[in-house]
Amino acid sequence: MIVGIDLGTTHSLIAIPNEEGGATLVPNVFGDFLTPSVVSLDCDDSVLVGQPAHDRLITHPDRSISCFKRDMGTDRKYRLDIGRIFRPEELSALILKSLKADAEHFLGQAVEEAVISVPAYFSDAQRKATRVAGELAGLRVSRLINEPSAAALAYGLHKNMDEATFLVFDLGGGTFDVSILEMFDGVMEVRATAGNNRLGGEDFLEIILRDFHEQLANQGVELSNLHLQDLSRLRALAEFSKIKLSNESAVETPVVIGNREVILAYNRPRFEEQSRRLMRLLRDPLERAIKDARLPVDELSDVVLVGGATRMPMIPTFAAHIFRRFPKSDINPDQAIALGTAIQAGLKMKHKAYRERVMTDVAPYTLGIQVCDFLTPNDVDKRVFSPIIDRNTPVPVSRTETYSTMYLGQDQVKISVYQGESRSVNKNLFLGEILMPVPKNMDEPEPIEVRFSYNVDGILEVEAKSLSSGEMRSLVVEKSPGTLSKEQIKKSLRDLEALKIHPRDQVVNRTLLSRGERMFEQCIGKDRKRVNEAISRYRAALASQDSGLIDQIRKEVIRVFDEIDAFKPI
Amino acid sequence: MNHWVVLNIKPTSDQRAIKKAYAACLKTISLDDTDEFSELRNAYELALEDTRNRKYVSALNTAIAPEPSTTSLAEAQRNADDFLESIQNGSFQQRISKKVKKRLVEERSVDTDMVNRIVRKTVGLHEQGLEAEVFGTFLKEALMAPEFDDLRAKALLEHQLIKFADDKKPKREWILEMVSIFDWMSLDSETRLGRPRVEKIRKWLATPIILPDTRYFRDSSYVWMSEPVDRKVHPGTAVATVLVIIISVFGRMSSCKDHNDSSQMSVRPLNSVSYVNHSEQSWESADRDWRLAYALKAADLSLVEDALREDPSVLTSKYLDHPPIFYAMDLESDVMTREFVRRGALLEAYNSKGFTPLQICVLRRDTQKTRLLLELGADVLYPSESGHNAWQLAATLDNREMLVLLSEHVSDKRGRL
Repeated sequence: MIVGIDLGTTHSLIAIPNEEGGATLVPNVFGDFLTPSVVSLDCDDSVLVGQPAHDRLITHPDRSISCFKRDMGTDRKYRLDIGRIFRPEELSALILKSLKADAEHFLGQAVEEAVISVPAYFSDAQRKATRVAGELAGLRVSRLINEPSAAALAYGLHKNMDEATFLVFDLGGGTFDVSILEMFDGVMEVRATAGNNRLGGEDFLEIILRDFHEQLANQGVELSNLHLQDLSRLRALAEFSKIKLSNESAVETPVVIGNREVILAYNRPRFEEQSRRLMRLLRDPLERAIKDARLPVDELSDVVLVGGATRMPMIPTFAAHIFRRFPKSDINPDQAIALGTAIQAGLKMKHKAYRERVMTDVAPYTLGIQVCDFLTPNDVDKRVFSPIIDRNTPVPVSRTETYSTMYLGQDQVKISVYQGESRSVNKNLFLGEILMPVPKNMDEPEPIEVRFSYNVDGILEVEAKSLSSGEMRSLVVEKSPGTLSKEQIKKSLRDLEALKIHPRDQVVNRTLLSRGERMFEQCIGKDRKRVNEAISRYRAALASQDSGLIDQIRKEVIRVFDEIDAFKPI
Repeated sequence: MNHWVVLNIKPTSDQRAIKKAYAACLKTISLDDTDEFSELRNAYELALEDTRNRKYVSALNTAIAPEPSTTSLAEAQRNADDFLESIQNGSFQQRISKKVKKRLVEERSVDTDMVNRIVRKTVGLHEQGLEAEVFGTFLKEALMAPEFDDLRAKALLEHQLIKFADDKKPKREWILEMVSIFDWMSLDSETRLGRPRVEKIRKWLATPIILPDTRYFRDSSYVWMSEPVDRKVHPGTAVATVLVIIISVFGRMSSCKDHNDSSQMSVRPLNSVSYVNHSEQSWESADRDWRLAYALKAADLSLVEDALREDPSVLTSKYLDHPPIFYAMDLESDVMTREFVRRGALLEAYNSKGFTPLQICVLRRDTQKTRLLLELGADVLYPSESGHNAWQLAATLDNREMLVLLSEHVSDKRGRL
């Protein structure tokens, strides 16, 4: 069985292909489809993933981490408490492991293979890191699928259309992607993709947070004195306000910060005013995708909104303004990608319900190498980008270009691989390099053939060949930051094995206690007393080890918490 | 393979049918197989491109149709005959060969300019298939003339030899002859040419020489030419002999071309206005623009050379409807095309229909000229005024051979490492 996983910045989901040619979402241990992409280390050094970890972001910010997807493919390390250091791949692997356990529980069989979605605009290193994360979680990643393409698969199926051209506007927690797709005769063809992998709901959150900080400063609260816990509570409050602003025009929340009670107010016009810079950033990829797809806007049959952040009212308004029509959001924006990954898994399994469908994708970036440009024999521009695979070329694709040495008698060439759109390699992203010996030729420049192969997973292979000696070299990315070597992966696997992970049957109890602790901190007065009382009763019930009693008390505690909790998780 | 074959449908302009065929094929292949997918994808895109070009094709047909002629075919034929006659009875005082002949035979003197011209002319003959040995003998004899400007002739020879050496498919016998001339002139080929070229030449020379096909001309003058030239004869006599050959050859060639190709006259620019109007004008009284136009339209190599010699900078003529490179390209010999490009004529010039020389060759399905232009550096992807490049035109005409040829020259070398 191949499963489909949407490994999101803020939330992750898992789904499985079903017999009817569609997909089914798998609930986690709490019965929710969305698992927060948060990892936390419990007091006994066991790992908590998902909702309990999300609650602990507030109570134990120093032992909890979120939004690590943004650092995939970099060398960033996260310190959880003293001594434990995690890489983004490892944290993602923990999330994947938890999702895998959910699916295994749901299916009653082992899950070993998965299709994982990545933002279309994820770079080569980021894609490799995602593959490694899967490997660390014990999953064979049979395919990486671009998020908007996955969403489009789900959408196309949902609408059951025969022939259509539509645009997927995917604003997730941390990334923004646009894809234009054409559907005909069971073929789903991505025509163009553009995006920004550092633009998402979290950036909008930062805007609210910055405003809150200002408000606090105006009310005389010294920000530098604030406790880490206060800051994470502020963040939670900002998130809450953001969600609430989707339905209301203004929010006002009293909070206790730094032992002072303050009221934080925020409203929609202010939000829209402050988000103007981000909205401008959205425009660029949209225009590029439309241009690359060579399609007039009027020929689009639909504009589809995907990703939780598109719930913010200003996003549909913005899309409507640009496309001169009202965007569709009749598919749950949180679930579309996960459903799409599962459909892709079904296609991959060649299940008969999926046999009549194919999906082709494109290379999101231009890929090429660094060359020298002789302006005059003495004036050489050494940092020129020579594209080999143009962006939005259908994949898989393999292209070959011939280059030559710069000087007579040159015995080695360095093939530096870059991705990006700028003519100068300085502005493009470095992927790796190959050092290639060439026969020393004093008479004429030596020709070198460079072959780029870009596969359906979006992974690039570079092969250089000296035409006169026939010697070949392929790219072993050595200098690319944030990519683990084989040894590192092995070590990582051992480290993760050694971690204690909360047994699945205890996770529910642990989560409820985390939630209680969080609520205790957030509430004051009568509510705080009630929370405290509930926690004590629950602890007592757990101590009795009487499962009947535990179940009964748990239900009561949840009822009490739900009543009080204004921060009911999404 | 033809894209329609890959898609497994008959050629159609129905986009819907193409998509359907593509979808059907796509379902049978694996997306993990890059080659298979690439082939299908290319076929699909070519087919779609074809339908987009369909409208364009009709416009294209009018573009390549012969220009409405201002003179009838019979009149053009008569003009050509008149022209031929005037050459044969020497009414053209400016015919180089005649001038040269006069000086050589009557005054027995050779000047620098003439030697240079002779060298250049032999290059032209090389293009037309002159036997290497004849060429070599001729050159040597010419170089032995007392007034011979040693340095300039050497420079010219070097230039030519380098050109041979750099040629992708060099004619071995020519190189052999050139090298022998070098030896004869006691020039050190290694230092003059650079070691790599000499190495290359040696390599070629090591392989057996295939004798050239000696049937270059379609009449009896061939017999005359292939008679061995005695190397021991007096220099002046030999040069004179060879020059007589030239005159004869030129006269014959014009006659062959004009008679045999008269059916194609209407597509040549030969019969358009200025040629008719100015046929009575004398060569001296005409301005340089007219001379160039006349020479080009008459498709006479030596006249063109004459016109160019008088004003080396001349690259345009107000009497021509298209940039001169188009006419140069129409000459049977490649030499003028090369010469114009060498003088800086743009290969990206548009004719009155908005096509570049390369695109015209593609439209005419003229592989040989296309190869020449590509070799001279014509840009395959340069768009016509209507935005179509040579590649697209070849694709539209479904000319596979041309596509293969063009593809060899698309992005040959992109940069240096």
